[in-house]
Amino acid sequence: MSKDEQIDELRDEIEELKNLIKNLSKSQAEAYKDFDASDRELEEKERKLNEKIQRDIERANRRKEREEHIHVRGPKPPKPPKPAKPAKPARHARPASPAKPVKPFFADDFNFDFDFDFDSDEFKDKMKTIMKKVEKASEEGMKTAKKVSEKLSKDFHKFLEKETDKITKGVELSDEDYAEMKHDVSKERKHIDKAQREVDEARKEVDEARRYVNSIQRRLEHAYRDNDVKKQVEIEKDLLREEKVLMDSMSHLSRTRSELAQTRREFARLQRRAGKIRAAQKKGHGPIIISRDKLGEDGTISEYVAKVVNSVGKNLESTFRTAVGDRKKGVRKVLSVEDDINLISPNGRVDIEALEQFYENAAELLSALGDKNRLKLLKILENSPQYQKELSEDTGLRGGTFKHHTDILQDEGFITREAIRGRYLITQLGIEALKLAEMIYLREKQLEEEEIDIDIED
Amino acid sequence: MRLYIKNRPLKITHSFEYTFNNKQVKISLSKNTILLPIFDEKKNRQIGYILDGPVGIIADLLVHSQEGAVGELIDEIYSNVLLFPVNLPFLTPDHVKEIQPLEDISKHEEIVKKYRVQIVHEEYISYEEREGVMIQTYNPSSLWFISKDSTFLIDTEEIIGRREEKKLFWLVKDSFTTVNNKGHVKSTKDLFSITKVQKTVHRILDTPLTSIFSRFSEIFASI
Repeated sequence: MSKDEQIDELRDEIEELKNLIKNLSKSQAEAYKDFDASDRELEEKERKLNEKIQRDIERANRRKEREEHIHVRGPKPPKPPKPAKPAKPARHARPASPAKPVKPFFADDFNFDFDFDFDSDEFKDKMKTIMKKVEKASEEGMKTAKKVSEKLSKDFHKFLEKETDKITKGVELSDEDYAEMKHDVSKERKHIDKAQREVDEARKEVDEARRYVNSIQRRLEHAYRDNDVKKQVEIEKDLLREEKVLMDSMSHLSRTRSELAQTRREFARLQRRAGKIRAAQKKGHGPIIISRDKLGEDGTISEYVAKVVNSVGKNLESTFRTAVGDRKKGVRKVLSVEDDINLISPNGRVDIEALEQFYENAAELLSALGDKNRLKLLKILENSPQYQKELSEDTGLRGGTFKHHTDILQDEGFITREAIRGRYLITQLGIEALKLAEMIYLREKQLEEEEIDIDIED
Repeated sequence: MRLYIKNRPLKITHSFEYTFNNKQVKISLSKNTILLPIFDEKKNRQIGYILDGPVGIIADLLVHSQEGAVGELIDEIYSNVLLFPVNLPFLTPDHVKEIQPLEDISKHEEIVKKYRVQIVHEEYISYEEREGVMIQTYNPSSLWFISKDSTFLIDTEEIIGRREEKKLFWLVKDSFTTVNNKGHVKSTKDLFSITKVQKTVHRILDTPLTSIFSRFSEIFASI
């Protein structure tokens, strides 16, 4: 067989296969259509049936009420049937399955037959035991709730008195007293936790009782359906009584719970107060706690005072720092006096070279401040950066004079200038220098006033 | 990311300076500076230029605060830089012209190899849309991010960012300083905080260039 013939044969085969595929896809599409139609039919029937069932139940309920003329709290209306979910669209990958024959489904097929006999002794016994359990649970709940509330109120009053006493005597608090107070607080916290557990238990019991009542309600519903009127009345009476008992125990529980919450709030308030006292003590505003080991042999606190004075000295030393501008990077570098100017050498002598440098640099810095126009410039720039024009208008300086003053301030690192917009900004060193000038001025003024006072007294 | 250059050079016709819209950075380019297009090897797409010639960058990375000016004035001249993205506002026919292919671009290829591009260029921003420019320098090594309202400089010694008029963060080796809108200065020397900020910034560098500016804005939002 030649190649051409083979190719022709293959082509024929391909065409046949194509036809086959077409036929298959057609039959598949038809099958899908049938399947969808049957789904829709089923859905429609279900919906109609549900509606009919609901109508029947409602009608039956209304008829019963009319016949008996008894005003009782009826059972909960049956839940409306959930709307049927829309049928899922058939997946393309799913093989076409033959449409299932739908079984005819009518309302007559549906009945309310229950296996349980409500008149039987077994049911009565069960009901009795349930009632007993409910009664028992509610009584226990009441008892526990009462116990908890009494205990809580007692504990709370005791704790409140004790802590109020301690806080009023807070000025005389020592370390030991404070520790005792903390211990008491933790003890009370434990008590509250225990009470909380008890309340939780009571709540569980009430929940259980509630479940029993619910179960009775369900039974009552069944009885309604069974049309046993006498039984219904009896169960309903019992149910009402039990519900009342349950409601009482629940309200008691809620009262107990609110009392517990109040106790907790008070406890938290006390804790906050204790915390505030502690914080105030740390800052030195409140009563100071002095541990006994800090007291001297004779009970004085001289050593302690000496320590405090030393720490104040250290603080003063650290505040005596100066901001030195790094000319190149320049705006935030802060060095301490100790690091930068070693006025005293390690062997205790005065370092003359360091002093010379100090004299020279300090004189330069102060001379940059020694002009009212430059001080004016610094004061204006303290608030916000300014363009040359604005500064010139505010200070009255123009041209060369303006440049002279700004150059001096820039050289000493008191001000700097933006490279792009050209605004002038005050540096950190500039702010410090301005503050120094203001401080000297105010101090001088104060001294002058004091002198005048002395003269008047003389 | 691997980069390569094509021998389609441009030349700066005259020296000029360009101030970015945020009024914080000024770039100065000299006459006869050569620009060669940089391509991303994977996507075969131009992502920027390499500039061979002195490139000056002046930046006002300082703000006014209650404690005085905080920040730095930067004035650096770099011998060569990488510029991203492609459509930069100052590379117009007024300033550049096409020239004949260079005889030897091996020197430029070596320069490109020296750069380690740290940013993920998944999508390339256009200057018109985002107004964001990235400049990478080799000696000294630094990264500049310039957007319409902020500037960030990340170099080996410090990380400094300024947003609009008042906000600034400044991380140097042993301290971290921030200035907020009200001019309050906060400074810390706590090593833990400093390391945390460093990590945050370096984590940002792993994000695509399109979202890098918004990530920096997030840092400012927390100041």
